[in-house]
Amino acid sequence: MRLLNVLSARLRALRGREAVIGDIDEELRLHLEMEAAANVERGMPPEEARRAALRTFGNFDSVRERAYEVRGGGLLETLLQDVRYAGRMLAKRPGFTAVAALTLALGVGANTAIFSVVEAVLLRPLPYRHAGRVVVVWENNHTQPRRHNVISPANFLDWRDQAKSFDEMAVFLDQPLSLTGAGEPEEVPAQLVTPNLFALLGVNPELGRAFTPEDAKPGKRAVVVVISHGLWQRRFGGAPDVIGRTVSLNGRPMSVVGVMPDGFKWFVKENSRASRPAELWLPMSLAPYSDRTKSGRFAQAVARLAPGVPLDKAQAEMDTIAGRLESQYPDYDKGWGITLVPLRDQLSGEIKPALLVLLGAVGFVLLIACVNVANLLLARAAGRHKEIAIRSAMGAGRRRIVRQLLTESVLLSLLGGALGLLLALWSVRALVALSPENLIGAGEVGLDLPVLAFTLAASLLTGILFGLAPALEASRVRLNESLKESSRGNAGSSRGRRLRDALIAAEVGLALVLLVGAGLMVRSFVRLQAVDPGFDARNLLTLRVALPSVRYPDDAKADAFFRQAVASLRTLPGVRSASAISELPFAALGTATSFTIEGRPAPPPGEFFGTDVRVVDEEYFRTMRIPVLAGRTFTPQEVAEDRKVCVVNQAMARVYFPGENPVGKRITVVMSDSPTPTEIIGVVGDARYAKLEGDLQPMVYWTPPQLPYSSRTLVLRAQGDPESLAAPARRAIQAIDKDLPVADVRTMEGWIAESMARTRFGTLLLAAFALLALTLAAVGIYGVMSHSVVQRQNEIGVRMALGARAGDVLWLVIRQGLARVLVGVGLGLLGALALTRVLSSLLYGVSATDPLTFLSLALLLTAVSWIACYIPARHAARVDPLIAMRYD
Amino acid sequence: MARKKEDQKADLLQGTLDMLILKAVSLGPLHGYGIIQRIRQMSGEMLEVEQGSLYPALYRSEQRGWVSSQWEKGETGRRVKLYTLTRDGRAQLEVEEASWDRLALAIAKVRQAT
Repeated sequence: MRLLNVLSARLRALRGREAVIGDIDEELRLHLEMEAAANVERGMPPEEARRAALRTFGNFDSVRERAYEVRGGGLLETLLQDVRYAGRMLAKRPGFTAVAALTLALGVGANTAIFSVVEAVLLRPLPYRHAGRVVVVWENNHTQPRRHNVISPANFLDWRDQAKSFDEMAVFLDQPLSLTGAGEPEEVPAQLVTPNLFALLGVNPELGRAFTPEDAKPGKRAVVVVISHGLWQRRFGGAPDVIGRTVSLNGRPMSVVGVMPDGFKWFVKENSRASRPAELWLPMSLAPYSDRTKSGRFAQAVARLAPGVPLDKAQAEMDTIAGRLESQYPDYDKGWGITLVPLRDQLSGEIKPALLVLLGAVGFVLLIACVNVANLLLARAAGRHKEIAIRSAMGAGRRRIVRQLLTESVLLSLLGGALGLLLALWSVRALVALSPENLIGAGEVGLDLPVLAFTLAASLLTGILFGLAPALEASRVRLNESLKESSRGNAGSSRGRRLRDALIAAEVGLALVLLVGAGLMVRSFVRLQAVDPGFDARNLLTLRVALPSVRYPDDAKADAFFRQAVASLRTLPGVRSASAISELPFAALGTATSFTIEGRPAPPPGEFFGTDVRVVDEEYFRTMRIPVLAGRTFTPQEVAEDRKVCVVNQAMARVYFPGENPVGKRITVVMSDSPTPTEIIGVVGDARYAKLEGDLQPMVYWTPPQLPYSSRTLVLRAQGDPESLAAPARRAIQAIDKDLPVADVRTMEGWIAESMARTRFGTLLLAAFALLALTLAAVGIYGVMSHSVVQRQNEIGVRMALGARAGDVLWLVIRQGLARVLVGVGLGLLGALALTRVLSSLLYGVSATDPLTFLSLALLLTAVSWIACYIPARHAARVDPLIAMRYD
Repeated sequence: MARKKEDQKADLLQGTLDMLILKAVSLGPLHGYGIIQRIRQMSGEMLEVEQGSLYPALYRSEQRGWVSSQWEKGETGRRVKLYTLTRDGRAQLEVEEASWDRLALAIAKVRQAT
């Protein structure tokens, strides 16, 4: 009720200063008139009566001003007053202000930086029209753990005909192409797309046109391309007449019909055969794939839900269609279903858990910073009792004082926020590495408006959060006591002390949760790094070469090229051995298919024996140092001629030939229309191909004649530093064919590091935040203990005068501090137990409740806290009792 | 419990004028000039509240919901602003009178002891 009155008065006041002043004026004039009238009644002449009334009234303007201020019209004025006063108070104690502002800057800065990534990745609208309705479409097989399998274009044609939930469905397929003519030959990430893809995404070219259905007429070779803004700038210098120009792709001329706008990107990294977003698009016809038995599952698909159709309804419809296809084509579709994934989840799914964990972590850091500053303010409030008592005696109400103190803390937090913003500005560039490459680029994480709003809100909230308790505490003035008594012997109010105890326990608890979280991540990362990839990654250099089909039309010619290239590389000085492989570990997505084993019944429809397939030459296992466990590897003759032999890995032997010797067995790997059996001649060790974590997949190694790839990766083992071979190796390739683009010249260790880069960076960040939390907590404990020792100086002096030894005093102070710390450690352990579960999906080889991590970090925190208590305690113990007792 | 007592003591200095105003309007609606007159009357011409203090105090009381105000046609036909005690104001008046009595009693005791 009262609040309502105040509010309505404030609102009225805000509505118009004029109206309020007019009201006050009229009332005061009324008063004067009445006074004058009374004077006249007493017998004064009217003129004199009026003057007398004015005289008794005093300074009319100042009365009016004071009245106006009370009526709330002075809200802004008092605020300014408060801010000025607060500024003076902060400037008077530069040390305190600097420590507090820096503490807050660390907290706010970390939050701003992480939030800027969260905003760009998880919150900002995706740059496609109706992005909320776009879903990525996968197939899934119930015998496989992975729910996202590439799709069959033949199945897609049936979905498109039958599904009513979508207003547009498109297929796309990443495929690097080599771009020649005008300048260096270059391997360009390209994408084959059904012509409607751009319309589905709602993005128009900035120049020229998008594809039309005519561009992908069945039976017609694609002759037109759409290029990216970046490629247009790079290859054509941004020439405005680029439309109609010809580029040579894989040796075939194509005419440019459109340029996509700057920033347009369409890349679904999961299951893509490329590692970078496409810069060039070619129209794709699905007609050649309509015979499902002849083409496998290899493409990606996307669809846009019709307006008003919810995801679950669309999913239900797709389930029905999948069921229909299962019974219609049991050999091909038995056991296969369809998974719809909203675009946002697809693009940010892999990074989302880690980002949220980091956001939580910086939240904790900010809370700890708040607790620290609150503690500083509390300690200072004890010293400000007199000032506050005087202001209160001068007529300032409690609310007024609380408001003043809060203004001070908000000013402080804004100062910290501004510093934090600088910190974030500086660190945000580094954080770009966190963002998923299929979603946003380096330029798109930054301090934009939403981020600035977040920082402002975080600062204001922080100021109130850490300022409220100290302000309420400080304003609880015992007027006469405070004015009367000096600070002598005052150990601070017991309330204030209890509050500080609670704050210490809280910050210790928060720090421990963070430490345990980071500790788990670090242990998991160390485990991951220790995983043996199954080959020796040191001293390996890789380079990829894709042969254009125009100049290398038949397999024999391509094969001859690679044999020559490997031979040439092998002769380079410093090269121990060289080899070519279809898809190198960690450098590319692999090929996988199904197979049957001779003499065993085929698996029932809907199930299959699955294996990865790689095509290698005779030097591969020696170059990679993959051990041979049984039998032998390929001879040069087997690699050159089409002998039906293969080598398998240990996982294959374990999964499909348990208790048997696979050497001599014959398997049929389905890679063509008419697969033929091949004989297993050897078993080699398991090598990891995609990720260090996860299960090892069965693998079949084939020779090139059985499956000729026109794009292969060359790998060479150097005697010394592999990087020094990069230039000679490139020259050796181009000596054979000067128009060939050589891509991805880098070390094997570089590939492996890249596969872990984001995990490493996330772990590093979390560890840094935990360390920050530990430091802040230690500083906080130190500050409170120092303050408490100073306040108890007198008592300590008395104790020492009564015979307490230095050791007793030391123990007294440490015990007091450590007791609070241990409460915090207990709370922190409970909190960590509850919270680290959210990490489990990010952990490798370590449990989310790993007792060793919990215990060792609790010990570390206790030890650090002990030091933070010990230093002030030693000061206390060293004090001269005479001085201590006189301490004022 | 102890705290409550302390708060009451501390507020007393500022609260005195508020109490007098509330008391004055408790007997019926009054305008500002009338409040000064009534306090003078009630105190036996001993207390003269200054206009400069009265109006800020009045506005404060109004904001706290202790009095309400209204512009009305007065006897002479001139518009006057009349203040009326609210229910909250009556409760507040009782609290302040009680604490004033306590203080007066305490001071009296102290004086007797001297």
